[in-house]
Amino acid sequence: MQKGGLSARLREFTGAFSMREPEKMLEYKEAARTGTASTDRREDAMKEKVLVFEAMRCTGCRICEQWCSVHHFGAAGPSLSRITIIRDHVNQIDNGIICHQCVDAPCIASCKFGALSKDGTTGAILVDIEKCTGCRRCIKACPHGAVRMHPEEKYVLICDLCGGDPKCVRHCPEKAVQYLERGKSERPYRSVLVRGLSRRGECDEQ
Amino acid sequence: MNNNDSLRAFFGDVVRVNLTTGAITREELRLDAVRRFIGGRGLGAWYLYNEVGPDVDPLGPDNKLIFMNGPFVGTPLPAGNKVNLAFKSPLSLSYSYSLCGGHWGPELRFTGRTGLIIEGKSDAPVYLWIDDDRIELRPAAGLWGRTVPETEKRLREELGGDELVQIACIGPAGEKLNRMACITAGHYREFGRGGCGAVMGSKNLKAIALRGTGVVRLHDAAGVMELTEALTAGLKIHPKIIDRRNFGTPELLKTINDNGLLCTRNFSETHFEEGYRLEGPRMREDIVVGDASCFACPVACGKRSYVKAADGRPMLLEGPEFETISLLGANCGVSDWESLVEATLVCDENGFDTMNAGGCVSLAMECFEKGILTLEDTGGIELRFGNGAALVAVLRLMARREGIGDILAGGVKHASERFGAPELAMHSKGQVLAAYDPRGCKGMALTYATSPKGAHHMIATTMGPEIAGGTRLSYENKGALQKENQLSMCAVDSLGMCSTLRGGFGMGDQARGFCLVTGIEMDIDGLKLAAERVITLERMYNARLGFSRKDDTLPKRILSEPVPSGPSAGETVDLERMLDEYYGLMGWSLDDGLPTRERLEKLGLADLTAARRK
Repeated sequence: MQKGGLSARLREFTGAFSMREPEKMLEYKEAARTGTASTDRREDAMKEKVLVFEAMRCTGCRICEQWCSVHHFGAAGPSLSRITIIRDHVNQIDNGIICHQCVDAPCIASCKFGALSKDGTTGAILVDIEKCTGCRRCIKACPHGAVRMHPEEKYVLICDLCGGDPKCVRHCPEKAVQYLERGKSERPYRSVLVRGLSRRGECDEQ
Repeated sequence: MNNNDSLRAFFGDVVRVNLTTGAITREELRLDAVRRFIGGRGLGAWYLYNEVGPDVDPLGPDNKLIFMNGPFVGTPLPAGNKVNLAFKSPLSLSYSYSLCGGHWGPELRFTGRTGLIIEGKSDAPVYLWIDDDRIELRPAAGLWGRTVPETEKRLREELGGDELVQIACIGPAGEKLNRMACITAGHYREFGRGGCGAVMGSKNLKAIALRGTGVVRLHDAAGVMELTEALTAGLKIHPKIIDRRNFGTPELLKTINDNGLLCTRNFSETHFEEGYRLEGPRMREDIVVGDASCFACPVACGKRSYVKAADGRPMLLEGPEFETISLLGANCGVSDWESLVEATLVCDENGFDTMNAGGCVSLAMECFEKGILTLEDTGGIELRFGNGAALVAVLRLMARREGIGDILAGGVKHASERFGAPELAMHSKGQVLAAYDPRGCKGMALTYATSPKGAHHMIATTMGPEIAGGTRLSYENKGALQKENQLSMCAVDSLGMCSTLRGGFGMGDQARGFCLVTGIEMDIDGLKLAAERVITLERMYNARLGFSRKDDTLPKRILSEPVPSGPSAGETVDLERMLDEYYGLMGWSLDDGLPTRERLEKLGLADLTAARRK
């Protein structure tokens, strides 16, 4: 946000809410012009819930991928899923690639076509598939690798939080994906990390 | 779309790769065969019956590797991940199939196909790269000779470092035609028993790498998700499944050992006094650091273990599983995790079956203790029961096919004949018995003896109901129990789901799931009928090779040497009596144990009657 300056911010807020709440969009446009929007928006962002993934809990079943693809496309296939689990066989760790719902979303800032915006209610990134050209700038901009190309169409897939009820969270048998307020999002990760480290530490000392 | 079009869209095609000519063709899956044999194991048996004749040399170019997915594979239904491989076995010299969990089968489905058939033989080592519909054979000179993890690493780098590419490969064991070699997918999931790795090695095919971006189009997506949700909820509270989750397959060890049916020191006993050290909870406490799932499975019975070897090397793997612990552990008298995990890793990295390997080493150990083998034969290895270091050393020799290891790599039957002690080899049709000693659990005798692929436990896991019902030493109704269990196993193998979930995902739900994903009407009776058809077809494949009742047998030790001590002390097995009952129920002739003409016709297999020898 600091780098982009006012024009980048304006672009972001022009995009924001455009799909669902045009009136709110105008409100935010005005706020952005007078320089008050950034703060408001960031405060709102702290109340929003975000996806949290913990590799220590994940067993690599990929049930999340199945629910994601069937929920959005009615067919099962990991390449249509916005969440991806990658197994590192050497270190025996399953890690998840998820959208982190960044407060200042680099994907939105990187888009030259105004195709990305934030959902006013959930804070999820919305993709306007008419505007998206498949240029892949957002894929490179995402620090989490969470943006992917649709395998057959010329637009990108980004987590939409299933409108506030993420199916991956609801159906993860291990609670490896959780949906938590941004201000509390680090807690499970830290707890599990500490427990896990102590467990592996024991083995190392044997 | 008419029904056939939507079925084709659901199943995708079958790819046929001829390694001799390099021809790669895509053909339609035979939907009439799907209606009769469902998929997976059933379709595999049907393709093999039609394409690999009785005179084919298992390690010659005419043998085929027929990978077939079941209709559940790649769908969200719990544990829909088992892909079946049908082939003629170089170990049992009979029909054989092997199922692999993990993520490779679903990936094959996502490349847009149900099946893959490999035939012929390449002049030079190659690997197969299936990137959706771009399919090619590529030189594998740089991979040949590499272990399984090395092969995966190098191949992945060659393919651009995509961690989501799923790779199945053989290790040095398969290349060296070790008759118990596996094909390994994702490091720790194997097409395990029967020596399919040697078949792949004989074809000069090192690996099959897959990348699929396709989807599985469900007939009734909402229905499938509803069923999935209900089944998952039930599995979470199912006591047996909870045990499986907590302790993996080793949860079985205590029950099997306490009831006196755990293979111990080459099946000379059925209770391992140090078995308590290998029980599931103990394993979890001592070495397990995490859980691992196959595709779409909410159970996660895979256990990630971390142990340091005697010389300080860290060892991290998925496993060891119950059968591995039993046959490499109890059956060799070994009970320390360091040796067991290292032994498992030697097998996994070189790509051969831990179960047959355990049976081979235990045979050599008994021969050594009896003086049939000397230090000279073993290359200086003090090959006694309980010597973990010796176990690992012999497995390394087997991997390299050096010294005594070369003989053992030919399989337990071959090795015992070379040692001049065929009565000490614990096998049926060349395949080592699984962990359950049938003297302590009579039904398993039928399972081992009548299995079309040699003594294999997953044909019918009757020990569960036998122990639970307190009937393990009785002969009553074991034929009926065998038949019922066999049908249920064959159904899940053909549908492509993991048998672990049978308890919470029963036949009624399976039939419903089949109907929801494919749109083909199905009920429990229909599933059972298809399963019986598959089992009969498998029987007829072997009949064509000359197998009959005379081959449905067990080692002399099981039939006539009473168990010396423990909960099953004094027990032997009266096999013939159980065979009579079982054959009767299956509609197989009591004389030669082969399906009668009437039963073949009743099952809609009338075209096979010609293969029935008079």
